[in-house]
Amino acid sequence: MSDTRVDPVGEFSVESLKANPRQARKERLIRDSLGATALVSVLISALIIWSLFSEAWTFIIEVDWGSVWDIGWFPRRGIYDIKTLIVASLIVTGIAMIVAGPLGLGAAIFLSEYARPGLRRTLKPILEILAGIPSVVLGFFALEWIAPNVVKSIFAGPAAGSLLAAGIGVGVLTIPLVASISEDAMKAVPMALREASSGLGARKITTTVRVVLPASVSGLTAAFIVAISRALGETMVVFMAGGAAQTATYTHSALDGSLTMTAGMASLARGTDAVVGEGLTFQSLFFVGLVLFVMTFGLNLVADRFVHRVREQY
Amino acid sequence: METVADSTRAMLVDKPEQDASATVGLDIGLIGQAASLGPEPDSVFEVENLDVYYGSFRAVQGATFTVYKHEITAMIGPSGCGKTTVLRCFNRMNDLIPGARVEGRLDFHSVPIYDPRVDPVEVRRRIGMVFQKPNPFPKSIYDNIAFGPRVTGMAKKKGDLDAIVEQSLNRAALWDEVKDRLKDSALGLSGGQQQRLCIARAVAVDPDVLLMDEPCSALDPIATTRIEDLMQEIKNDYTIVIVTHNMQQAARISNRTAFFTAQIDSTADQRCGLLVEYDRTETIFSNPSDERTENYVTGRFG
Repeated sequence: MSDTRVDPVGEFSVESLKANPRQARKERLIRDSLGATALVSVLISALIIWSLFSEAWTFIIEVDWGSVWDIGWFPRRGIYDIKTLIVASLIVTGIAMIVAGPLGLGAAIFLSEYARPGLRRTLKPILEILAGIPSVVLGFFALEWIAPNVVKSIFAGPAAGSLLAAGIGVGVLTIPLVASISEDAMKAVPMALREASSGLGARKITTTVRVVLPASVSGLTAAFIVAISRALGETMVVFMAGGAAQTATYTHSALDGSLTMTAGMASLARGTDAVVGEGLTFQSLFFVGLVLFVMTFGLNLVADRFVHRVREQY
Repeated sequence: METVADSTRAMLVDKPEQDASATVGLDIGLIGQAASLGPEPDSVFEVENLDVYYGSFRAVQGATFTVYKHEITAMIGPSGCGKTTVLRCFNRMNDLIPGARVEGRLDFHSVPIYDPRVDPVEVRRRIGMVFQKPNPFPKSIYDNIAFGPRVTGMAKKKGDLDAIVEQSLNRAALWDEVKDRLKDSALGLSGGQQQRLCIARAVAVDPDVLLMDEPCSALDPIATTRIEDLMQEIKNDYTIVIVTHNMQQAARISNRTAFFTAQIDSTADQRCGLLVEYDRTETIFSNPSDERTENYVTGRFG
């Protein structure tokens, strides 16, 4: 009996607990290479921001600021009216939210509160397929279907591209995003709260509106902010269906064609040498990019705050 | 199956009039309206051959018993015996679970509440529920209490609502602790306070019955005592049905006790809840007629 056991005093020591040196080397190697991949992605991000800032800085220093507040966006003629692009972006984003907000939220409420489990299992993947449609396809759809069938017949606008057509297209694009994040936020509301409400004689719609929605308000806000930032950054749909090719006169009518920030950049960046124009044309691209970056970055920060709040709630 | 029939018969033999005088005598001392109850307590729920299914799974089989007015009826038994399932039938809460189905008779003041014409929302307005874990809304204390009166349209004016809130919190013995912070979040209260808030919230819609699903299981002994005292106070105005894991609690507070157990359904190889015995609480704990009840209450099983 006793000789089958290791004598604890004689055999058990720091030496016997030392790690196998090969194992230790392997661990270090794994840790270092994973650290390197993380470092690379951080470096790339830093590089992007640096290139954006340095070229934009040249623009900010050298540009005649009178041309940044002018009649429209004509970069090759040295007229860089940034408000044309910003206003067009805001119009498109606003229209997109008018489309995606109610539809996305409605779909989320249905999926989370009303759909039976089987139906939900079927519908949710379909909704997520919509999120996987390439934006170039949606751009084409906006130009070829939304423009003639919605913009022209309902709003008496042009059958070709317009900010309205682009906005509706971007809205369709962001519906799954709004629906999916909102649904997650609503699903996170504990069943106990719904039961408490039902137990007091509240109808389903009352429970949804007065208990579930208020309890998930931070998640819903985050959904909208993420969707706004997605709509602001969407390029292909607005470029194809926005109704302006390379230049745009300032407009605040959704029925006109114009360039959003992203579309303005895309039209400048088309081809290899097209960018190289007069004066600061090349740098203006980076300046617009910087403005867009600051806007979406700010929105993402706000969204992050809200998501944190929803995590802390229950 | 023989034993099921036996226990059913045992329950039916139970004669409420034998003990009615004692209960009513106590009631007369406390509330005037008790005299109108007559010598025999009125029944609130009459349950007959109640089967509950979740999909194809039968959770409860053939429960038959009667819940009497202004009494505390306790449902005890081991885990998985279907007592919570039966409780949730009383206010049609099981309707919220997809696939749940009820067969048999369940009358509330002689009205079959599973009649297709009955709206479960109307049932729940008359039958309040307090849950196992305190579940206040993430709203202010005031808004928690005011929720029910608001959604049921009970209170039209702000003054009425204020009165209901104060009265309900008083009922739940919580008013003095929270009267200075009605606008604070209910989530800042302790567990015991939250559960009393939930009781206040339930009584705010002036229900006829309070269903309580292990209301003290998440609370410490002091908070538990407060809730038990509270139940004794409010039972003169409400009929209370309580599910509890705690046999001492059932013995302390209830007038009648239903003992459930889980039996293996040999045909489907599933566990199924079964009402073994229903009687006056003293009888269940001192002189039960079924051996299984005796084994359970004496701690030999479960």
